[in-house]
Amino acid sequence: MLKLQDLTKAYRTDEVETVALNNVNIEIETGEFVAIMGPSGCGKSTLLNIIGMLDTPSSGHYFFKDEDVAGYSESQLGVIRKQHIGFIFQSFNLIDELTVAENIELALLYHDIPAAERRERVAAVMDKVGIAHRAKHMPSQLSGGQQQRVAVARAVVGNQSMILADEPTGNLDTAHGQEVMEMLQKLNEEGTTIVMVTHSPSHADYARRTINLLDGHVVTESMRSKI
Amino acid sequence: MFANYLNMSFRSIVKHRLYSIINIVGLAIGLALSILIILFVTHETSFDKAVKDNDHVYRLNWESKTSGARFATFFNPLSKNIVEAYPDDVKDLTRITLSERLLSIGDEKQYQTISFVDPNFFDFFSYKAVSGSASTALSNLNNAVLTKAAAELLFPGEDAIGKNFTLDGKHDFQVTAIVSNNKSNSHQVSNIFLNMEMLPFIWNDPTFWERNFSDQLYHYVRLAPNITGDAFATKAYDYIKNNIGGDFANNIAVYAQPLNDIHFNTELQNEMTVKDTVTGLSKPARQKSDITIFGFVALLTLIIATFNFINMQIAQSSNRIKEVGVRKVLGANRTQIALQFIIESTVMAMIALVGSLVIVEIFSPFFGSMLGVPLTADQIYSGGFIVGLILTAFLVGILSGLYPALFVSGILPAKAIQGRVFDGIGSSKLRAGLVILQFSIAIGLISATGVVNRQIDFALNKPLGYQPKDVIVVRLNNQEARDAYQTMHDELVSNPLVGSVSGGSIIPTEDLSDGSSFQKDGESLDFKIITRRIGVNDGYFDTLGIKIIAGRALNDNFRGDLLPNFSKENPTVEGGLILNETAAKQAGWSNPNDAIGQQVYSAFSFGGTDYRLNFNIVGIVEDAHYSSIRSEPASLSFMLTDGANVMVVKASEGNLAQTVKLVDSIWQQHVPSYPIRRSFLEEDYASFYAVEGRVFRMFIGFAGIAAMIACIGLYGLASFIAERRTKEIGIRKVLGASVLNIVTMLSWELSKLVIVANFIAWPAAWLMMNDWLSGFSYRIDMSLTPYLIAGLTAFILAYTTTSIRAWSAARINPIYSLKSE
Repeated sequence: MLKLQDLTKAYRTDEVETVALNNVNIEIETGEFVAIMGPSGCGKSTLLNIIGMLDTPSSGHYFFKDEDVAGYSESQLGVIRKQHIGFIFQSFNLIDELTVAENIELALLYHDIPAAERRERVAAVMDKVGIAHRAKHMPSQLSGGQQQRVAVARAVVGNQSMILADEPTGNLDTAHGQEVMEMLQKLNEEGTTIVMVTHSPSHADYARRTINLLDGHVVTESMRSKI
Repeated sequence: MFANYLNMSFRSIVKHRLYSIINIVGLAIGLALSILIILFVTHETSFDKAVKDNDHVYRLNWESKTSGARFATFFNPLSKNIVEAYPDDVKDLTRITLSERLLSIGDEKQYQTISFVDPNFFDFFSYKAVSGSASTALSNLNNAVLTKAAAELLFPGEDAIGKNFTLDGKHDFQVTAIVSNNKSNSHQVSNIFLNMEMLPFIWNDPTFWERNFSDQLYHYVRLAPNITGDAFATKAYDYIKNNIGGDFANNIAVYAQPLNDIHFNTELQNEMTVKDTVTGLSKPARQKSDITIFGFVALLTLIIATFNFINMQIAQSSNRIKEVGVRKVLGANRTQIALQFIIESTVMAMIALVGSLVIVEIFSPFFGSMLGVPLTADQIYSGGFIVGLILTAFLVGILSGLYPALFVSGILPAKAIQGRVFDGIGSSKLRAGLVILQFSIAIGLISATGVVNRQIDFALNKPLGYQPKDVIVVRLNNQEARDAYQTMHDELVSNPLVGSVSGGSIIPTEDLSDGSSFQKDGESLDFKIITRRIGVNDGYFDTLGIKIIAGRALNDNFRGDLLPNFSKENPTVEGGLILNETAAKQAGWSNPNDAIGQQVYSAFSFGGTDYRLNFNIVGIVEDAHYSSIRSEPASLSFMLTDGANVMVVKASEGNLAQTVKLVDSIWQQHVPSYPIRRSFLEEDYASFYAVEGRVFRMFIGFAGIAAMIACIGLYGLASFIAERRTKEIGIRKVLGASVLNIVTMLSWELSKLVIVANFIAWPAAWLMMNDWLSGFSYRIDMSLTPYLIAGLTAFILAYTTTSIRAWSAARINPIYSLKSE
């Protein structure tokens, strides 16, 4: 699916250069469920942003489906991103002014899909994540777990082949966190590649592989033995 | 997709209610104000444009080289001869004169302004027929044409066609046609029309058409497209020179005044009345500079409102960064994001436009009545006006959406999603720039307002040179009254209620007409005192309170004062003369006492006889303002006569009401056939300046509103800044800052921009106001005061507005403000 080769990301302010990622080499196969762990400030989110093409590396290569996208412009990245990648955030990032259904539909809006088909797919995905009864509600009227389910629905409604989740359970209580993880697991079983940043070892256990980052380096990679 | 943009726009407007309301209301008020002013300006600049071929229609004027005065009238019979001499140049000629007559229907008597016109008048000025045929009606001398308004006034609830009325108790007329009313933007004020051929009978003046030099009619010509007004005026003068010649030709100049100039020319003598006595509408001539100033205020208000709107949209967009991030993550490209911002601001601008139309709809009648112009909002919806408005709103929307569209859409999604990119970016400089400009305009307007206000006060309160208090003005508007003048005068004077009584050809607030120029034996030909002439009776200066500063008043008891009638047999006569200060200065007598006892003469030839009128200067009077305070006091000469057009009665202290009764009863006794026409000089004077004063009071109101809009925007910006800095405020409070410290910090940040704005506003306003003041002969000296007041006002307003917002931000418990990050 993707391969990062000697990838480095440095943030430069006037006098200080901060290296967020240092010579990172990671390969992720199609259909994998990978967890990225590490302490705060180790570069987890930066890594996820680069994988998600929300940010660009300072040097190195990023092969996405064998295409080196490291030097691509923002608009080129945008085209690839909207075809292949879905996002789930810790803080849900729903748009407050739109209803549940409209928030999900937003992901299709930028894909030139006819309105009728959009409605169908939104309805289908809402059923799938169990929030169809909340279709007309505004995000502020939902619980955190429900909001995250909307976010999941939004991430997959466009049939994205990869989902990037940045601490998807970070703002949720245990029960709701569990629910979301099960939903992700189910998506993975259906063939979606999932890359997830998490602090929670128990949630990382859902993944087949865990990558540990420290100060911008990959320190260990561990495969889960039990499947 | 588009529906989603719109949907999103409305939701976002509702979500950010405070911003939206501030923003929409500010723009709506600004637009409404601009629309109202533009309605007024359009109304004024469209004067007489409804007349067919108005670009080729001219009114003939003549100028007296002796007095320098230019007249709106032209010589009664000459225009016809001139037109006949140049058939290729003139397509049409029509003439009119207005005369107040006593009109009776049955037993009911009333004074009405009657217009005597050529039968083609209605076609010439594009009147529409309501009933009957106006074009042919006046071919019969006993027929009359009425406007709809006059028909309703004279014959309420009836069909006026076929009805009769009588003028001056002896001339009967029948109404045979009714035409449309005069447009409010036409300089015509006539409502009751008769054939001009009736004039010799009505005025009891059989030789009316035979006197080439009499100028009682207004003459309009429609020229062929290939000749200019000036070229025609030259030809007209050539005709007079070749066919009449002599002193007459040497002493005049001919002008063709464009029809479209009439409403903007305040300089002409013998100008047609601007008051439509039937509809009550007054159509005073405007200075073009006033119209320009109004247009400028409209533009500035619109600019302030637009800047305000742009400012707010930019401020608001920073709250949207996270949303933009989400959209980008979901695949929105830059164009789509930009488009959304632009559509949102356009939607808001459109809502503001609708709001402004509602405001205009509600306020246009009030606004119109303040300006003395009937304004209706209907004009907005006709033609290009509404299209222009929609385009303007579009433009405002697009402009204000453009910056956020370009900036916010360009933020990297990884940063945008964190919603944290707005700190320390260049847009704060742009915003500062917009605030400075907005306040520069507001301060400029406030200081201009101050200057206008002071000038108007100064002008209205400046010494007039006469005392209008307790003076009753009685029009001697018919022969019976003129014959009874001396009798009435004597009866009034003998009554203790009456202070003094006099009369004359003209009193202050009336148009000056005739001119006289004087020369002096032993002086070079360059010595010339050019004056406007006023005939006065004994006691004129005393009654009107005009001060004699040297010598004495003209007086019946001095045999030599009264100028005898001159004739072919008696071409040299002698009389007393009074000049005003301006006239005396013209002669070089800077000390008025130098003028007393000087001998001057006025010489002219007429009908082959050389006449010479010798005058002995007996007194000098203080300058009195007969016409507008805008113009210099005219140079005046006063001669003693025994007739009068107008009688003035000064009541003795505290006896005005009884004196009025006395005047009425004496009139009734001696002039039984005519109702009295009287007024109070004080009221005449006040109405003379009422419109002028009101127009500028409106101006002051506008500037105030514009400044208010600027403050609305400032409040919005203060809110925005306070919100953006919630965390900083929290930290500062935790570290020990007091509420006052924080309020001072936040308020100062915006208020210092206002101080900068002063440095832009002052010089600009100073230059503009200096230019405007130069149009007044009596003007205030420029002082710093209005500018200081404006600057201080703006600063206090800005500081207070931001403090109020900062206060509420500063009082938030830091627990909450710090949690927000």
